[in-house]
Amino acid sequence: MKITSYNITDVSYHYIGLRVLAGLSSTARREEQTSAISRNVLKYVSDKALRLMLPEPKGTFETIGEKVCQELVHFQFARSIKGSYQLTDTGKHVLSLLNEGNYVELRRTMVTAHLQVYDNLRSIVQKYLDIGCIWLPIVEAGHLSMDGYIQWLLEPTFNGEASTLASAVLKNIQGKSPKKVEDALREIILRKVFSDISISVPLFHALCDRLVSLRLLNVMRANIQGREFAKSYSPCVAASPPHEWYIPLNVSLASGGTFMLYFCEPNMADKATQAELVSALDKAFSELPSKAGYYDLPEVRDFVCAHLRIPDAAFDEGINYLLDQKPSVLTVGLHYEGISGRRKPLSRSRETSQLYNLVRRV
Amino acid sequence: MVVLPKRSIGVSKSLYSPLGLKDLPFPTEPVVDPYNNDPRRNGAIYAESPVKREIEKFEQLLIRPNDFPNRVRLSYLWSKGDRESGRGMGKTALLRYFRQRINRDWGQTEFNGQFSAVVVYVAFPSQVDRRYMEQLAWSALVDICKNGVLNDSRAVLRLEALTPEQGDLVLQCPDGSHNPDNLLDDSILQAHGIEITALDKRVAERLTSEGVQPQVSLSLAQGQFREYLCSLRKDGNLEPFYIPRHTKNLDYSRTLLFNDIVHYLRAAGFAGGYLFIDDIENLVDQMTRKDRIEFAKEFCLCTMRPGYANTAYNFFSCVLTTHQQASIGLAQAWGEAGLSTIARLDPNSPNSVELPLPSEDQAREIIIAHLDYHRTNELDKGTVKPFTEDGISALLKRSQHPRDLLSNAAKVILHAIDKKITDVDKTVVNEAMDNSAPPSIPDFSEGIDGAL
Repeated sequence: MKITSYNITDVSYHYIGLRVLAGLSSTARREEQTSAISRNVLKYVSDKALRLMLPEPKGTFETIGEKVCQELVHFQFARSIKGSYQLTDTGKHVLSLLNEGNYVELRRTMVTAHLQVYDNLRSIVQKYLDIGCIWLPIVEAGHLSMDGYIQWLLEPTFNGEASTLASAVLKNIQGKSPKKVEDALREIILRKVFSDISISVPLFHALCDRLVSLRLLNVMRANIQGREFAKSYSPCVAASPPHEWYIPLNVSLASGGTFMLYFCEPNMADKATQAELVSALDKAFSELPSKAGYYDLPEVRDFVCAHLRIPDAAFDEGINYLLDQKPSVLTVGLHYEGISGRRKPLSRSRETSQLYNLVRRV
Repeated sequence: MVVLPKRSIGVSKSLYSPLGLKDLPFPTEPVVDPYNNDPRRNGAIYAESPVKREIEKFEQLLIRPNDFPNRVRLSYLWSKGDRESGRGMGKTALLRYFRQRINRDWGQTEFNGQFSAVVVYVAFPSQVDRRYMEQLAWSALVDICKNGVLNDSRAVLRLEALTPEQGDLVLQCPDGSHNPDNLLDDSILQAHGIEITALDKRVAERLTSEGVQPQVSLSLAQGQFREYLCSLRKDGNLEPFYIPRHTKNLDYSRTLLFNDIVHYLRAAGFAGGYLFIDDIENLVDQMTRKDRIEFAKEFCLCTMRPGYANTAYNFFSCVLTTHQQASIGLAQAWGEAGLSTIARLDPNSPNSVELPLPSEDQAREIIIAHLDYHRTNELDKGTVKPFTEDGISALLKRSQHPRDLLSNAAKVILHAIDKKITDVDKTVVNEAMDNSAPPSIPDFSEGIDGAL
């Protein structure tokens, strides 16, 4: 089966779906269930945006309830019976993993379900395991008039062919807005990288968000000689895992084969893993520019995750563990600028929740 | 045929007298409304002991009787807990308590008779979606029209415009006592040969010389400030604050509050004041990021930066009640406006007072305060009667969150009355609570981030 929906960008929406189906009374009709899911997804997204100082969500999420339920059915976590959705035993088990806080097992279950069910999502993961990373250009309006700029942006993907391709592209993008140019370039790149599957730019972005929430992908901002790129790579590997924290996942496919990968799940509560994180942080601090002694936390996160090949969320978990150490090896701070969906601040919940996007070594 | 409605005749015997109470002692809707006449709703019943430490910190920051000019200009009142449990913790009640403490004699007692001060309370009955700073100022002007400070100030200004002999004559009552109310009674003034129009003119001229705009001076001197505000609107009302396509009132509201009213109050002898801004979330919830930055900058201009009489004389100290969610929304804007350097928007900042969840003993004090207010027998004061010891323990075990606590207590008393029970023990409490289990609205999105 292929994912076609752009709406479900985050695996947390499935968790809300599971809770709603289990939490509403057994007589609740399907419309009641789907609207409760939509409502709670909107609340979750709005609360999260507010908490992380991100712009308010634009959509109403009205149709997402139905889509979440359909996906839960695809995963065999729910079934549709007599005008309503009901959780299956597997769905109840997944919900209990969520409610009991058994997140490691929960993540593996969700990754397995996704890879088992969705062919196009699995193909994307496979591609990342094969080629390492994808460089999608970020077009800057001020640079568009620069000679050779388009060729420059295509080079990491097309190498020697970039020049010819750029000439062809230039004819099609005359007078277009920087966003449209960016989409056009990304479309060409995706067509080249995923020559075997057809995938549009918006769907690819939606799937990338989903893969990030499954800890199967990291998307970082990278700069090559002044050119900006959204570089995406998977912290997972197909073989020879570089660290002991990789867990083999064998996903049995309906077609009869098996999809195999090593899932990256570092235990950040472990002292040895924390020590590895500290040395990666030291490396980041030695290579990144500082502002008044502090380092930009999203930049440090990008650097450390790429260096250790760990998911972004694991990095945040690790930083929270380091901050809990007494005395802590880190100090954090907040600068109100530069917070965005891709440059999320660190959220730290103790007595009250606090946000930080600056970090430094004590 | 006309049917004449009947007025209530006298007070019938209270339904609650079998429990030793004059009325239901707990609010059925435990949301504080400072303008409500019901003491259960307006915060008049207030147990100080559970928040003793917080009251002390508030006093230390903002009252400072011997160091009033150096009180903080901006502070925050928080309640411990997240978005849900942070509500109904008693922030509004604490503001109401200080407002009542200061405004009952304009700070005479509070500041040992050295000078006067006033509390202006700002709240938003519904969410604000535009002209944020202007609506805030208008809300304060509406409170000023209601809290009595205009009349009392007018009385003192009139007294100062009279000769000492005239003043003594006007104040003196037939029984020899002094009554300041006489200063506002034109007939008494006229009886002593005082020309009212000339007196008002003298007061207005004085106000104008102090910096109040001439037209505003006259309305204040004549006791017509409320009418002046209403005249700025086509509908002739004070509320709602915002009316579409007609915003003349809002165009002037900031100047009126932070210039004219400050000059007026200073002329009347007020050394300063407090601007209590309650439920800031009603103001900020619908703001975009740009709106928030604009609001923070305007707020900073009106309350911190030079330009208004308020800032020139450091007149109003602002106290904002907020919670984590609203503060996160405002944090960036606060930083950009430079307000974070004056008072960090954070429950741990030195300018913050944070209300904790009451302990079991403190929750008991809250219950006793409400019961005592409604006792028929003075001898029962300080006890938990009609609750038995196991009854009150059962009630406190349900929830110590102030809003839930009061709401549960009201349910239990209503249940006891319904069942004609006079001793409210554990069984009664449990029966009442189990029979009235409210339909909960579950939050299915809570705590999901940890799983990601």
